[in-house]
Amino acid sequence: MTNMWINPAFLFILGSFLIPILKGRVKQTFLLLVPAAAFLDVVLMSQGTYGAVQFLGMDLIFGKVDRLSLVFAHVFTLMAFIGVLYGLHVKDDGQHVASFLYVGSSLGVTFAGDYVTLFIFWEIMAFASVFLVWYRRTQKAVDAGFRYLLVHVVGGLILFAGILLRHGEVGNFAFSHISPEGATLATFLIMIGFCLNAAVPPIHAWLPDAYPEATVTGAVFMCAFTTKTAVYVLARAFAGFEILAILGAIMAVYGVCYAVIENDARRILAYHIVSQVGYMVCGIGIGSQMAVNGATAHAYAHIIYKGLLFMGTGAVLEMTGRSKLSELGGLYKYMPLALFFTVTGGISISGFPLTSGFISKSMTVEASENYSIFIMLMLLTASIGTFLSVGLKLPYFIWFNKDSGIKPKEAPLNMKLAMGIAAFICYFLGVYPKFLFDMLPYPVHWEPYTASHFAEVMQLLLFTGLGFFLLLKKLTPEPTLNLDVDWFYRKGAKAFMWVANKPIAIYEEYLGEIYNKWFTNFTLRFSNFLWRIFDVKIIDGIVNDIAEFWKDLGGVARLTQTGLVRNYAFFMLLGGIVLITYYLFK
Amino acid sequence: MIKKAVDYIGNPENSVKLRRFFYITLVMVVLLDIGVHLFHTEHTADLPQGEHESANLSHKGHDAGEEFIGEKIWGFWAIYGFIGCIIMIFVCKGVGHAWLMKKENYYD
Repeated sequence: MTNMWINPAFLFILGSFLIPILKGRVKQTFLLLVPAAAFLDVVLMSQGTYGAVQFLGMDLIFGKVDRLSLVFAHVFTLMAFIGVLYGLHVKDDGQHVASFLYVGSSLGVTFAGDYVTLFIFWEIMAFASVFLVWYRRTQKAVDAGFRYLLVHVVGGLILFAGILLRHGEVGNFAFSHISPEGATLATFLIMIGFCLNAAVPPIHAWLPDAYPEATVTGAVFMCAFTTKTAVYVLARAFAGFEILAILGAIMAVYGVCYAVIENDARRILAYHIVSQVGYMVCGIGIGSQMAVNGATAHAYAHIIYKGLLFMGTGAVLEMTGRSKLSELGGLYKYMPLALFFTVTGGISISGFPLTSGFISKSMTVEASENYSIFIMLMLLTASIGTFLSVGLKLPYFIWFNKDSGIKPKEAPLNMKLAMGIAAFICYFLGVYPKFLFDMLPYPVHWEPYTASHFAEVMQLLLFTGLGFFLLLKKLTPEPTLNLDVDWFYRKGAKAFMWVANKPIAIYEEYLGEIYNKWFTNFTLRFSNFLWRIFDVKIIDGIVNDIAEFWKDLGGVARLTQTGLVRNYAFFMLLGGIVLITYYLFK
Repeated sequence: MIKKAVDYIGNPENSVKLRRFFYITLVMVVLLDIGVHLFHTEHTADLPQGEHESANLSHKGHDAGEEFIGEKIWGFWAIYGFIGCIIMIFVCKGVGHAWLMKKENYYD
């Protein structure tokens, strides 16, 4: 360990403390410098194990740097820079601090070499990110934030239980690959903890619940880090677990199905995070070198294009105050740039040739073909749904269709710049995939641009487009709320409150009745008896006698109380003389 | 430039031209697919075997080399995309209307 290693996580976490002190241009420069420095730090970092600390007899490793952690850290710091640039105009220091802590803790997880370090950063992530929801300062956001936090606290507890059980089994906290053959309860508890953050159904509902309620910039950060750190830890620990391949494929289809019926632009995108992370989880579950490469490449590409999509729809929300498709329309004359950027994200997520999605998604799909045809078909079905909702429905109903009558301006310069950089990366990776392929954990012997692959993807997507235009009327967004598994805890909490209010209240009333009838009655009778015998005869007897005595005494003493000042003055003078005489002659 | 392109696409006067362009593209990609089937023999099974080796040598149900039936049919992915899209819209909207879609104040 000869060369110095700076943990980029600490650049962000320590940097967050300076944000409230700095002002104006200095602050904006500082906000951009920290992610830029962290990005350079990651680019110049060499592989190895750094930052090993002994703490309470545990070996903590803050810097496990290998190809897998490096590629994730690369895109995390890059996205942090884009996200900070996008939110540079935000005056709310709290949002900047929260996003810095959030990014920092995600990087902490990425470089963690043991479960204790991982868990600590994992929890900071949840607590920092919830503020990005709360800073929206609407009642809906506050409520959604609490639900988000509660779900993540439960997930954290499950993870923690798994970590402790695992320590009991293997005797250390080392965070490394677990073989599917050696899986125990501890393994699955840890996996559930990770899967919760990856939003694997049925423990995914926190994501489409909370992300659309976050602030405009908050959502840009959130869509990048929580699910992708989960993908990273799954890739490190659970590659080759068949259950993940199946769940991933289900996720991919599940997300797009909800997106078809969803009305809120950012909630459509949130459901597409579930879907896209499905490809990654599936690739990890398949576990072959190509599949893990595909999952990693897709995570890289996804962070950028999903960030771009959230920035595009965020720009619309920022300028119009609306995010529901049913309230938008006809913006193409006023926000053409935002349209261009959103469509760039839309065709990237759909995997059109020359965009980042084409080179990353198809690697996972290709790997799945060798694993199971059925899973491959599910992933391709999800591709259809992705283009349908994000590539077509979302831009069409925001920028075209009916004229909603609003005439917004384009977003501020910093937002446009951030979207421009992200859009550039989407095309750059699509045109020059070697840049990404060289960073992947395993060597890549695969060429995305073949005639058959090109023909396959273009047919699938363009004929989806044909279906869209033919059934355009049927797809008109409807202002509804769509039930998802969050129903169980949202209604569950209501049911709990009802149980507390109604049956328990009735039971309490009933209990009160019994209490009145029996217990109160009995005590009343008993005390009545006590009163008649004990009180009247004995206690009262004594008390009355004593009272009689004081009454008699009072009768005598009463005679001295004449009420005349002259008498009192006489007695005071007399007393005074007696006292003085006593002291003089003693 | 972007603004001009967007204005052109958004202008209702150009919708016929755009639609015609879209249909021509559809025909062209199907023709391309037919061309690929006729003149191209490339297949994933030709890739080095190591490519499909499991990183962890653990998974089951691995059937490398077996070709998917759809890849032999001309224009299969065009049909899959079109029918998949239509089924998805009908099923999702159907289930949505029958069960999942509630009033926006459902939880309030």
